[in-house]
Amino acid sequence: MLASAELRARPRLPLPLVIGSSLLLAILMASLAAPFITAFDFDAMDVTARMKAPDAVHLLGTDEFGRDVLSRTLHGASTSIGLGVAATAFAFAIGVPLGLLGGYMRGRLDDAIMRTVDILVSIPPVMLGLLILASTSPGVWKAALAVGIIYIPILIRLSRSVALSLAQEEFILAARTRGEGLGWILFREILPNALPPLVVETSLRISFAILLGAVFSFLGLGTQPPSSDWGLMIAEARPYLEQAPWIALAPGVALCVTVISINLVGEGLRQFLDVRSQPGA
Amino acid sequence: MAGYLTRRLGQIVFTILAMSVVIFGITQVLPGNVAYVIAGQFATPDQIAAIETRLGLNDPMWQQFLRWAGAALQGDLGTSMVMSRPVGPLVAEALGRSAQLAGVSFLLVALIGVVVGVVSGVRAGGWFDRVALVVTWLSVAMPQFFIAIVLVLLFSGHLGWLPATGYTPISGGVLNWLSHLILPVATLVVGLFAHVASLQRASMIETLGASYVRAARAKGLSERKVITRHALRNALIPTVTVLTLDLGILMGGIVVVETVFSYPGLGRLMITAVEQKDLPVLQASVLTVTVIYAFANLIADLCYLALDPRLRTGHAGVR
Amino acid sequence: MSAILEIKDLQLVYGAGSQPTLHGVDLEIATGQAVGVVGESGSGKSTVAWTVMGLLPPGARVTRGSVSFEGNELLAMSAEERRRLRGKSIAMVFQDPFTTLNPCLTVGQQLTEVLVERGLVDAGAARCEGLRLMDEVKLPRASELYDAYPHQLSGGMKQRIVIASALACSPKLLVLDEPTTALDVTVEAHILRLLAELQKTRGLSMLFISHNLGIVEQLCSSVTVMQSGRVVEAGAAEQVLRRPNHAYTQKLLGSLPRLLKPATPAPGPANEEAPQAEVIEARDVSLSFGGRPGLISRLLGAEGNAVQALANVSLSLRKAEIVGLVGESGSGKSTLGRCLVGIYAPQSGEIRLDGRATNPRADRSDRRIQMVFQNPDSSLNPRHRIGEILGRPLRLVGKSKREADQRVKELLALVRLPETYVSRYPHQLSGGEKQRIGIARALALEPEILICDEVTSALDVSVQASILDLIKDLRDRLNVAILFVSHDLAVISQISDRVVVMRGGRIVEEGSVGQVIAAPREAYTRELLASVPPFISEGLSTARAMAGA
Repeated sequence: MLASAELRARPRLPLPLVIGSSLLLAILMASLAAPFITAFDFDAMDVTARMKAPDAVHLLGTDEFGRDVLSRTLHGASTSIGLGVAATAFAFAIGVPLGLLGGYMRGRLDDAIMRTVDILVSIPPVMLGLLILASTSPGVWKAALAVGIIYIPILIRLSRSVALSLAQEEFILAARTRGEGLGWILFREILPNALPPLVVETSLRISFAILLGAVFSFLGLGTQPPSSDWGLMIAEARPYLEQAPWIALAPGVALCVTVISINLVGEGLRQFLDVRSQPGA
Repeated sequence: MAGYLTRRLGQIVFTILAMSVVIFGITQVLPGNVAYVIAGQFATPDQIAAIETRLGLNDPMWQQFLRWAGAALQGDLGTSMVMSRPVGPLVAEALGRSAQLAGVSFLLVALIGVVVGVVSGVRAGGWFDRVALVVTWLSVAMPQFFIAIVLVLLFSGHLGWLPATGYTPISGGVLNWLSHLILPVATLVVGLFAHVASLQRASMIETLGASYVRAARAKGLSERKVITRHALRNALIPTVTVLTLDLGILMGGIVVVETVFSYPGLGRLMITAVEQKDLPVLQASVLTVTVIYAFANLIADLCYLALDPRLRTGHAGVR
Repeated sequence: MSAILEIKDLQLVYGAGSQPTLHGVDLEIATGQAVGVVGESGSGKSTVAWTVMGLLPPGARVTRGSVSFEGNELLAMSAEERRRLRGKSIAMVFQDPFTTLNPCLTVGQQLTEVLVERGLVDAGAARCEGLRLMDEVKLPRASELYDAYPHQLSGGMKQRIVIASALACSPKLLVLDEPTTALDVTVEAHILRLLAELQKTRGLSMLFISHNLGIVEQLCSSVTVMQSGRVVEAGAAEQVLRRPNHAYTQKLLGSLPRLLKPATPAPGPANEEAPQAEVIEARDVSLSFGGRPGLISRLLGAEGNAVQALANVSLSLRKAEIVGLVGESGSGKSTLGRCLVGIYAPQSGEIRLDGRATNPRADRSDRRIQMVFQNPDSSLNPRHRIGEILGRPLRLVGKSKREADQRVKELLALVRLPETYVSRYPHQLSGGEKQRIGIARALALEPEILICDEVTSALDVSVQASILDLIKDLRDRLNVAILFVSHDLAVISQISDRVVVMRGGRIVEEGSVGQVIAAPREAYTRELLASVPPFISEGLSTARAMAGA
């Protein structure tokens, strides 16, 4: 009891959380402050400076149209990260309520939800995205939607399994015996207790969503030129791989660092929330 | 157990049926009707109408579905609208090449993932575990198309050891065949083994902390026996789930890898079909992948039965 | 008699810089002797067992003292030397037979694997030796069970297998860590009898760890009492249990519920006055779980597996009466409680409140009947403050914030907790305090009936005694009718006016406490009573004589 009171007073942030969130913050700030960091517009072409290797003027070199790779990479950050966050938020908003409802109510509703999920997961994830994206003209928001739809079943399954075990807890029985409504039980009794695993999962999902979004852009099904994100930049750089590898490497490394920092945040949150949730430890 | 199998087979039939409806439904809303693609940019409306009638594109949707599904059941997957070739052989040929790629990669992913996971789980906190952890983190963070590009830059561009693209059948010489396979396989394995390894590590650590492992130690069994006999088998049960999930991811990875390496498999066929709005090819390829995936899930269930006696035998009888 | 195990001044720390878990523990076991180590949770008794086994969790470090086995210092031995001792010289039986056996190996494999590995029998003779061991622990149909998997066995059978595999290499010392705690009382009695017999026939020395003072006397000639990592009292069982010197031992023994303890005042007011009206009544209630699977599952070959949880059960409670409902796991006692309070809907029969039938739907809630739950760790939402937990039922019936706050303070006073607790979270409270909050929440709307479902079984005995006191006191002050569900006959006999015995979803016997305990009519009730350790049921013989059975 004493130990946990102390813990509450001075919560020690896990190292991965600190490193991850500062890295992520730095990337986001750099992306927002891009005009102040580089002197070039992300889509300003310069035929006199095509495929120039990194130097003092173009810190990361230029691409086949003479556009500054650094400013394009910084510009791509907002699209890529935005896509990941939007897709995950969409999947969370649809998946979590459905999962909690199914796990708590059980019975027919649950069966219907889970059979649908079974069918959705019986198509490999990228295929499902291909099907969805093939049916419309490609675009960044549609890619986000496709990634979101792919993740809905995962979030339904996770929140359902959490709700399923929480539904057996005696405090839920207590809420039922005093006649609480469904909304209160789902969102005031179950959700706060389901949040730690969901938050951890969601933070990791964002990084997977960024990767999957980049895959779609790489395949030409996501962001469309002249706009850009990291996946598309790498796809566009492929023909010039031998002459100008920096065009592909810059967004690739940016992608890796972003994903690693988000994963670090997820891992840090996992450690942090586990400590907090241990009663009287 | 026989009842269980028939139930699972029933589920598979149901899933495939539902999936074929979904696949057909989604491809129906494709804009940019294929008739336009076939007729070309300068076609007159009459020409387009003629093509639409010939392909039956004006019939009600359910008729088109029944026609498609009925034919598919008889092994006729239609004709590629763009290439004017029967889809069946087209898909089968591509599938054969993809299967080589996927099969080799999957075996390596399973093998490397399990071994790395078990060793780092048993020696959690040791140097091997630490190195594996760093490799795992990097591998999870890199998209496959980027891994592929780095590998190409390194082994094909810089060192010039391996071809960057293409495919040679095994009849064209084993070495030649292998040289085209190494980079795509390496890409898939590097991108996927980390997932298996980290989950295998976690389940190994969890099992090693289980009461029955403690009890096995209390009996005085040697540590090697405790790990191989008591911990490993139980720790492998969740790995089956992970491997089936990864097979799905692998199938997606194939699309990417085949695109990067210009490998003429099912993935490339699908991307081409999407680009050219070639419905029958897209439908047939996705359906093929779904059927394979459904049966892979069945095999996974059989692995559970083999590994976990609680599923094999009921509670009845002994009490 | 020489000592087989001698622990001297053992001090142990979990993790660097923390307080020691053991502060200088001394313990001695003579060859062929069984020594009991008793204590409440946190006393460090299990840590002693793990130290003897050499299986301490990582991070635990012995900082002082010695543990010697047959004159050899265990703490100085290498890991390999200790491993060779395990099983062969010192073996262990664990608390929970459900997790102690590997689910993937057959019973026979787990029984004989040590023998085979050590080369004591060859693979061919293993089966024969395994069957002999199973016979020794009195398992019927041994040849059939030998090839079964653990999940196919009942809890008692599993524990017999665990004991048999501990005996496989003929150890001299057996360490038993709460070996019967996870089992039903009748099974517990059988296992204890088996252990006593094995001790005699094999001349085993035993270190018996338990929280239950009552069962220690059955097995042990000597008892050590531990509290917070220290030995507070040690000596012959007779002396420690009958003439305890230390205040803590006296308190433990005082809290121990006995069957019809002579000091207990005569049964409650309900028996003396004229029978009151029934406030709640269950008539012919039946309920089964599982039921038919859905249409699609049935088409795909799933079978129904309905379990009858309640079969035509009738029960009633009068005003200010405490009815004890006793039974083993699977008897349906908790299900009945949940039916009464409205969590489950009976499939046939009806529940009548104040003489009127209630809505036969599941999740019917009625402020007149409330429930206190078994596990205080799970019955309070860990994310809500105590103030919210107690205030919510009041707000739900439309009380204003101010009224609710006022009532929360009254409720805390009622269960003898300070007002300042309103801003705390459940994890900042002890187990007993949490259970008081659970009781206060149930009382918030001034119910007429309280269902208490195993409310003390997760608590230490001294805490249990104070909760039982509180419940009796609340009945006297608030005139509430209470259904007290428990597996523990001694507790039931302490608190109830009337006793109902359940088994397999049916009521076996019911009557006044005196009648059921002293003069049971049914064979099953007699079996339950016979399972109560003699130390707990002392004085019963006199009561029986008085009842003139």
